Parts: sequence; C-alpha cells; structure tokens
Amino acid sequence: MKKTFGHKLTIVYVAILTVLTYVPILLTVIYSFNESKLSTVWNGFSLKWYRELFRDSDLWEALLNSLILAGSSCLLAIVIGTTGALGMHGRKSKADKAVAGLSLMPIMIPEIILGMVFLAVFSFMNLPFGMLTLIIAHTTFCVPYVYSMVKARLVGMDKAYAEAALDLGATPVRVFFDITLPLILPAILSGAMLSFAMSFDDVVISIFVTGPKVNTLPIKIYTKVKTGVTPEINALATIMLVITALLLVGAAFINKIGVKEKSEKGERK
Amino acid sequence: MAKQSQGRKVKEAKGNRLLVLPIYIFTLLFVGLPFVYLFLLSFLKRAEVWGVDFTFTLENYKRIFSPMYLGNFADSLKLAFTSTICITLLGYPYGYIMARMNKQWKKRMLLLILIPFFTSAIIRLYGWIIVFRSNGVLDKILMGLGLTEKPLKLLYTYPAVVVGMIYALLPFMILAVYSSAEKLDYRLVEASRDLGASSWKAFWTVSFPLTLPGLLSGVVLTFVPSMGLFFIADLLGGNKIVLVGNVIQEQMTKGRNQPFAAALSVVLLILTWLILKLYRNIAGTSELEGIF
Amino acid sequence: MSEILRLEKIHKTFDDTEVLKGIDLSVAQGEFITLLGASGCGKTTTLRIIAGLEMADEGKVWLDGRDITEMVPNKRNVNTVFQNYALFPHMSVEENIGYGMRLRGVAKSEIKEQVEQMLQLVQLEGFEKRRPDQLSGGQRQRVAIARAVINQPRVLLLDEPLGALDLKLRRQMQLELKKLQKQLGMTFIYITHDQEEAINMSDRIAVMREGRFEQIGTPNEIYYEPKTSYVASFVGDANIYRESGKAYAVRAENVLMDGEAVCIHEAKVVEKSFAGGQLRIVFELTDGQRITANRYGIDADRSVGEEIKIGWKPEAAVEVADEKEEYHGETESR
Repeated sequence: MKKTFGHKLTIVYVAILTVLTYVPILLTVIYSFNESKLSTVWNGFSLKWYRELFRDSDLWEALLNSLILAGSSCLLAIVIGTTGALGMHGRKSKADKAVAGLSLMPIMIPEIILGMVFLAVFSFMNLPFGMLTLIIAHTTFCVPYVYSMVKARLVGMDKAYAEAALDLGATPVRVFFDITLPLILPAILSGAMLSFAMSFDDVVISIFVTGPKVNTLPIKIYTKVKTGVTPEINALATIMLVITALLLVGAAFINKIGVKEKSEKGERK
Repeated sequence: MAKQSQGRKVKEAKGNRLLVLPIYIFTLLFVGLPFVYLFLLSFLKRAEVWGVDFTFTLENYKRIFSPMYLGNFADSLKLAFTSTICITLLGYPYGYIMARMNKQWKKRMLLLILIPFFTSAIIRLYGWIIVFRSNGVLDKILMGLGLTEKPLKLLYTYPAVVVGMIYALLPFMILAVYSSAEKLDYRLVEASRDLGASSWKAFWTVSFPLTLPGLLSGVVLTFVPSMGLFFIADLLGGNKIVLVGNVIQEQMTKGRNQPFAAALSVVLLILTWLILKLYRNIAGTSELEGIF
Repeated sequence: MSEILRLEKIHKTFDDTEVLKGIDLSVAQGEFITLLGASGCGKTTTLRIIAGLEMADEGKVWLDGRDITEMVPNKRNVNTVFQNYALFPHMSVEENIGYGMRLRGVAKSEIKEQVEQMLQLVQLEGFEKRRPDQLSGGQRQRVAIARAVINQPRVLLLDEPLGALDLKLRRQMQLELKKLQKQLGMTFIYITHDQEEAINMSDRIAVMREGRFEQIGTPNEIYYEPKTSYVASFVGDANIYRESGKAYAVRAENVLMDGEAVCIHEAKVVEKSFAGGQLRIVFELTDGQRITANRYGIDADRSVGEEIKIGWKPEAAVEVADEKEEYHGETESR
C-alpha cells in the first residue's frame, strides 16, 4: 500500500503518544540510578538506592504480604470464577443471571465504593482487619476477571468437541478432563494473571481494609510518595515495572496457545 | 411442549448444578450483603464517639444537598467529563490506528499499552510528580528552552490532576476502541470507497458507527472510575481539589462518619448505574468492550 | 441382508417446531445410505438421535436388535464424522485418532500400531505429531474419518463430511470414501444436501423434507421413478408438467423440440442460457406452464420469442404425487 501523508501522520501521532506514555516511567527508571537524593539534579550513576531498598526490611515484608495477598485471592478467584462459569454455562436461569451480574459489580463501580463498603461491613462484623479482610476484599474483584474470561472461552468454544468426545466413548467426567479443561486452561490462566496483577497493584481498596500491622507494597509506596519523593521508591518502581513486564510477556506466551486454536476455528468457519 | 415434558434428554454431567455453589455463596455473602448493608447504613446516624448508632435518619442525604458537598459532586463530574473528553479525543484515533496495523505491530503495540496498564497507577503517577514538581523535569526543559523564566509550579494544580486522570485511564479507552475496531470488517470501508465515498466520508459513515460500541464502552470505563480515583487528586492536586472520592475517604477515616460516607457512596452508585443504563440503551448491550 | 439399525416413528420438537414428524428407517448391514435434503429438513437431527447426542421425544432406535433409544452416546457403538470435523485442537493427529481406544483402556503399544494402520489407510503417514491447525482441510477430513473408523463402530455416521472442501477435492474424496466403505464393509449413514454426491456414492437414498422421508430408494429409483414432484425437482432437474389433474415429472434432457412426432405442445421460448456445455432453454406453454429443456450442441439453438412445438416421449413422463411446493431453490450455499 502506498504510504500517504495522512498515513504517515497517524504513525507519528501514535508514536508521540506512546513515547509520552513512557516518559514518566522512564524518568522513574532513570532516577532510580541517580546518585543524588534530589530528583531535580543528576549526580551520576549509582546503585545505592537499590542497596538501600534491599536493606529495608519493612519493604520486604510488604512485598511478601502483597505476594501472599495476590496469590491467595488469585487462587480463590480461579476456583470460584471457573466453577461458576462452568456451572452457569448453557443455562438460562434468572438466578444465575442475577448472581453473575452481582459478581461483576466490584469491577463496574468506582473502586473507592468497594473499599468503603468493606471497611463498613468488616467493622460491623467485628472482623479483625488484616490479611483475611484483604483477601476477601481482593477476591471480590478478582473473581470477575476469571469468570468473564472463562465464560467468553466457553461461549466461543465449539460444542462439537465435547460431543465428539462423547461420541468416541468418553464419559461426561472424561470429557471435562480431556477436552473442556485443556481448552479453557488458557482462559483460566490469563484471567488469573490479570487478577494477580490487579490485586498486586491495588491501593484504593487495600487502604480501607488493611489492618494496622499489615502493609502491602502499593500501600507502602503510596504513603512514601505522599510524604515526599524518595529515590528508594524509584528503585522499587523500577523493580515492579520489570516484574509486570515479565508477567505480561508470560501471559502473551500462554495466550499464543489459545490464539492458535482460535485461528484454527476461524479457518473452518 | 407436551412432547418435551416426556423428559427424554441427553444426560448432562452430574453435579454440574453444584458447580455454581461457590460463586453463589461467595457473591451473595461478600458482594450482595455488603451492598445491602451499605444501603441501610446510609440511613443511620453516626455514633458520638465511634461506630454507628442504629436509628433511622435522612440527615445524611440532606447533608449531601448542602452547597459544599454538591460542589464536590459538581467538581467530580466536571473532572470526569473533562478527562473523559480528553481521553476520547486522544484514545479513539490511537485505538483505531492500532487496529489497522499489521499483525506483528498490533502485538507489539498491545504489549506497549499493557505494560503501563498493569503497572501500579501510583508508580506511574509518581513519574508525573517528577515531571511536574517545581524545578522538575518539565520546568527544566521549558526554562532551558527559554520559554519560561521561573518554575511553573505545575504540581498541585487542576491541569496536573487532569493529566494524571488521562494517564491512568487512557489505556481503557484505547483497548476498548481497539477491540471493537479490530472486529471491523475493513472490506466494508473498501466497499464504501468503491461506492464513491471519500476516505473521510467512509470513516464517518462506516468505520465510526461500527466502532461506536467500543468508543461508548471506553467512555464508561473511563468516566466511572474517574469519579472515584481519590488518590490522583490527592497526589497531583494536593488538597486543593476535593472530589467525592476524597470526601468518602476522609469521612471513613478521619471523619469517622460511616453513614455519611455510605450515603455519598449510594449517590455515586446511582450515578454509575445511570451511566451504565444509558450505555445499555445507546449501545444495545450490557457487555463492555475492552479488557475482556 | 440383515438389518443393523432401525428407527421407529421418531418425533423430535425443538422450541415449538416439530423437526422430525415420525420417521421410520431400516438400515442393512454394510449399506451406504444417504439422507438427502435441503437445510433444515431434519437430517442432522436424525443423525444426532442415532448418535445419542439428541434424544427423540417419541419413537425408538434399535441397533443390532437392541433398544438404544435412551442409551448415552458414549455407550453406543456408533461413531460420527462431524460436519466441521471437531478435531481436538489441543491433541496431535495421533492422539486424536487414538482417543477412542485410549478411553477403552487399550494398551499404548496396541494403540500406536492401530493408529499407524489407520494413517496408512487414509494416506496420512508421517503426520502423527501434527496438530489439527497444521493440516489442510482435506487432511483434517481424513483424520476425522480415521478417528471414527478406528473404533470399528457398527454404524458410521457422516454429517456433510465433504461440505467444507472445494469441488475438486470433494469429487476425489467421494471416490475415496466409497472405496473405504467397501473395503471395511462398514455401514455408513451419510448426510448431504448435494444430490449429485448422494447419487454417486449411495446404495440407497432417503430424500428428506420437513421432518419426513419423501422417498427411500436406490439412486436409480430416486432419479428415474420419483414418487413426488418434490423428489423429481430436488434430484436432477425435472419439469413438473400438469395435465387434467395429474402431475408428471419430465427430465429437462428428455424435452424434445420441433420435428419429432411427440411434439404436440405449443410453446414460446422465454429464456435461454448457456452453461457448462449445456444449452438451457425455458419455454412457456400456452396455458402458462414453464418447461425447461437441456440440450447439448449449438444446433438446438433457438432465439427468445420464437414460437415452437415441444414434447417428450410417453415413457419420459413419470406420474408423480403432486405438491404445489416443488424444490426451486439452489442447493444451500456454503
């Protein structure tokens, strides 16, 4: 295709906007290697903030908390979301529809309401604020990601696969483990990855439901940023960026398996 | 039908029905009940010292209609509108162009969008603090170019908050538009060109209406959260800009007035519900394009 | 020949629509029988009821003298080649073909051996490790057949297995399938909407229409002795000529023009077209009936508007049960 002026213009537009998106991120990365404590001057390359970071035992604890939190909510979401999507698939029950709609609510409303609601309810129930309350709250917004992904996969999946397996002599249980599960696995994994990332990064809801003794990494960062800029945060942000990027590349890799199957289906149509 | 009621049916896997139990229990217990409680709470009184006094009152809702809190709602809506308009103008072309790229570039661009999307919003906003702060990167560049003489003191201003909002929510719009533009059968555009439409006309008569669901869903996905992202106003706006989100947060923590925070949340929920309903009516579907 | 499968008064209703209106069918051991009909006539539903993927509301299904009406599909000794093959995308060719045997707990070495044989049979040696998305349409088709045949089902059900292939490949596969069926001596129940395919391959054809069998018979019977005007116009290219309350099917190639003694009908040429070496002329009789003639060679050319006499030999007109709705549409698009 001939590259017209308009065509070039659109490329330039996309390029500029993309670069702008990365400016603050790159600045954070650059300043994490800054010798100076002030982000306004550049005093030369140094790893001292990373060293400082690794010595900060509070941060390590916060990281551990975040991992436990994201890990458990993600696991719970896998179980609840997957069984829910499977159980509700192919039925037209009004109760199912209502529950499914309700389960999606946590990601449809402003986050702050969710945080507020949980703070109020947990204090009413007299639940001790801490890891338990965090996990419950996070699971509510993790379930929708897994549920929707698995549901979409089930809807898009050719019924004929399961029928073919039945036809070849598989019992319904075998059909599930041999056919359905492997085919929805990519969806479960990307839903899980998404919910892990969402939980790992969440500040708004965590702030409301965390206890005095439990800090998650984003909360820690938030309070530090609020009290003033410290280069340590730059280093931490850089590390988190790298982790996120790695997770995404991993998710993209898993999705490849799913995409392959999709393209095969598309061809047949 | 009488014939169907004879009940011969292919047997489904047993226990299929039991599979819905976890989601039923969890959702009703931890989503349904809390929101019922929220609603009740908004009609209660705050206790003198700590907690809630279980007597009915409409006081909380009356208080919302005082000029100060109405002002907060107006500010929140104004900010949400401003951000959403900016995001739409910036994000729609981006998502549309992205969907027209070849397969390899699509994948690369998607990864480029998703990395910041999945990185903590706080961390990303933190980068803007470095840019905006007095004597920060932006000031340095502007002064270096001789465009300004003194630091602009951009941090803790309204524009800084808008930039923060755009930055935090732009990916939602891009992804929503992208996913709907990707499904667009480009042969339709070619057909309209073939029938004599200019490329501009073809866009407005074919591409745009067909990608409108993505655009609308992007609007919902940016407008709704922007009413509650209190920490953006907090970090980039100092305490000069007070949004409903900030009020709720303050009432819950420092103010210790849970019922009032609940009433504010209920009003915000109703606003959200109205927006979703509006979307449903215009787009004809309740499914949002984009993240899924 | 002994009976292997029998359908008895099968009824099936989906959402208020009666898809099958009490069909009866008896299939003999080793027979190649085709259910032929336009889309929506109920042929796929019939097949799914035999496979057990759908349950009949009323009626019975007998396999080898046993009532299998309510038997679950995985217990039935029938296998299906699905319309779009339904090859498991996450399994290799080898795993797909061996899946049925694996379910029966056959030893791995035995499975491997049989899969090898099967691949040889369908000429796909060396494709063991490929995944379905790395195969062409024709290759997927062969894998789907191998996956079903390897289980040595009493009856093999084929749901438009060639529908997704292009014309040339379809012709080739028709021959191969027929050969395979003869070689295995297996009973095939085949579904198609393509009358040419049905005539080429089948021992018997059951023409289906709106949930009923219109006529069941050998290809010759269906073609030369259609019982109803629908069958006559669906299979081949027959004119329905109506005279004094009776209807006759006259094949377009049997319509004669001028000069022959039997040409007794006044007609006017209203349309003509030339396709595939065949000249197609549409006449309108004085009473308004339209008759189409297929001729080979340019000598038969007539210009539109020309008045002419046409007719057919008495033996070329077969009396059929008249129905106002004949089959006019093209065979369904793909």
